[in-house]
Amino acid sequence: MPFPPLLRYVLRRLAISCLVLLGISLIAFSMAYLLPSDPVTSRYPDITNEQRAEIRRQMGLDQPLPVQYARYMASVFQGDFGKSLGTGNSVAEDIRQRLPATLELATYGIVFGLVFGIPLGIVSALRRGRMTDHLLRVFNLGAQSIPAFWLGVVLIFFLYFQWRIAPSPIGRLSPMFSTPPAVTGFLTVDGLIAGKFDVAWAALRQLMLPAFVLGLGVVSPVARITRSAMIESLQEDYVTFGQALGLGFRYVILGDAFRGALVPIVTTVGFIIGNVFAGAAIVETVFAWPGLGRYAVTAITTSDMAPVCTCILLIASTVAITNLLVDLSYALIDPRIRHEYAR
Amino acid sequence: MNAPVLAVRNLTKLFADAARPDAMPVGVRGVSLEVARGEVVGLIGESGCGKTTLGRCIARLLDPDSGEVLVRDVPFSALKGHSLRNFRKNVQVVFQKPETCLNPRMTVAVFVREALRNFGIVANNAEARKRLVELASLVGLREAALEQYPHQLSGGERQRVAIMRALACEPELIVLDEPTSALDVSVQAQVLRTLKDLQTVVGTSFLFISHDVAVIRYMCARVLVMYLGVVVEEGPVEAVFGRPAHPYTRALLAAAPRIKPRAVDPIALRGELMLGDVRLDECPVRVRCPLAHARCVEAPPEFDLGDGHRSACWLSADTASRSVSPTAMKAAS
Repeated sequence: MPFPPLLRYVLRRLAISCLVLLGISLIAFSMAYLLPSDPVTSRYPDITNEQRAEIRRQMGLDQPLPVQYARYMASVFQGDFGKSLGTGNSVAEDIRQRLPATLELATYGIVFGLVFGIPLGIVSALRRGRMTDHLLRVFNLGAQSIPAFWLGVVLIFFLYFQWRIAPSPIGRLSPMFSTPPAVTGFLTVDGLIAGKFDVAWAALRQLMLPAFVLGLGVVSPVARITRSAMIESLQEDYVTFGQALGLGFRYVILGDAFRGALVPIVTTVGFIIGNVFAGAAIVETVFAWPGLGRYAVTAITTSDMAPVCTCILLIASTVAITNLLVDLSYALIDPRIRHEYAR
Repeated sequence: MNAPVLAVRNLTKLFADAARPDAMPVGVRGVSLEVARGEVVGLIGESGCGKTTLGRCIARLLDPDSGEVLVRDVPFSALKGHSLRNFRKNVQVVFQKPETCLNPRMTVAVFVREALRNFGIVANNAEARKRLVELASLVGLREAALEQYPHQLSGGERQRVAIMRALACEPELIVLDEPTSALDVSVQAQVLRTLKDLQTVVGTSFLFISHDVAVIRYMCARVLVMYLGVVVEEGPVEAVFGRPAHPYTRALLAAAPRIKPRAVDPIALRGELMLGDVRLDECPVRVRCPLAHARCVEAPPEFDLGDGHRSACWLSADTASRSVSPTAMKAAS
């Protein structure tokens, strides 16, 4: 055997992911092609038909779809994702500028969601059928039902306009502060690295509301799956065994029951991460967050197809990689699966 | 003899059927029993007769509705919170299904070490390791199995691990809830032999729950026969199984397959257990008992047949010395 079994498994999964991404690129590209809006008309509304034909020819838009797709993919493999008509920059450059903003927002949102969702789920499972459980269920239902765009606007209205608790929703950092030198791309972390605690604090305050709104969408699915998985694993004989031994909370609830519940929780979190990146578009628009989501939304509304395709590919790759990581994490969580993979 | 390791007094734990609120609740009704130090007591009865419920109440995995559980004269059933948790190590349970009672995500060593560490039985890892090896040899587990996960072990080995973990915190009493019924017959014999040898070495008291007459006969010195939440007959194994006084015990023995012809004249119960037919104030076996007669509409007390052999049947009053033990009367009323 040339590779150890686990590595072979990873390689096989990566190969499958590549095929999936190729398929997605095809769909994204054809979608851009088939849409009725014409990028040339939307960019230059006041040109003659001859001029339009000339520009189309220059841009290669007169070629048949397969040729255009092949050209597109050839340049993608060279790291060239085309040029954004809206910003005038290359898409790669645009994304390099915006990706850290989205990553920082998503990270804080997901961490917030997990930090609250998992304990809520555990508490619900432990207090199953009691008042606490019912109250948490109502809270979850509410958290899931409230649309992010509405909540974002309401929070801005009260916390900023009315009470001045939150800073104004003008993106990652107020212009009063200079951006710290980029190390991680996370302004909060870069601020700390640069020793400018006021900048880090200001960036954190800017993040607070959008991360809360984004994270609230994570809390309730995580809490619900944690609750149901914990209820199941709490009924396992080995949990009862631990209770009979008089083992403490740390062993019985966290060591035995929560570890037993971890596989479905990680699976759900994997799904949610994909959703968070897609959902970031709304939150970023509401909070004027200079991230990928808003970039994609702007590109879609202006029929700027190169960024749209690239954003779709990026989100699809995120989902594919997350899924692979989730599958691999099973092996860490559960030795039975580890031995299964190794076979 | 000094205080019994376990004394159960008039323990009741009933479960009502939520779907049929008018049906008779099942569970345990006013059971009393004692287990002396180093004694192996059997608890036998058919499925649903409450033997597992009783075992779980004794281990405080369930809270009894009424009655008390004394462990070395400490009211285990009244303990709460921290003192309850600390006391739990004195009563351990071995569950029926060895495949589910081990944490699939821990190696045997880690799983058993939790028990050792929790009560500070061992000071450090080296000592824990030494104790683990000792325990493994005690329950007949090969040392290599310590580093393996439950799914890499056989059913018999898994049950040995469960016994090992229960034994790790040096309990006064182990409740074995059908520990071998999920195993192959050949493995059953090995595990039973290990348990028996182990019991003579460590001297821990066992409450051995089973539905298998042969297993109880092999393991136990004394046996309690349960039917529908009450103890119908109890006493030394030779007496109860050799000269069964209660029709239910006779039917139970008759139902057990044997190679040699049985000494007892076999009887069989009628039909199946229908909870709706049973009334609370009468003998629980009456509906199905072939020997039932007029007196059976009143629940019989336990009649003492001598040598600790007691039977809750009106007929045993005729065959026995007719001496009704006052404590048994009180327990049954």
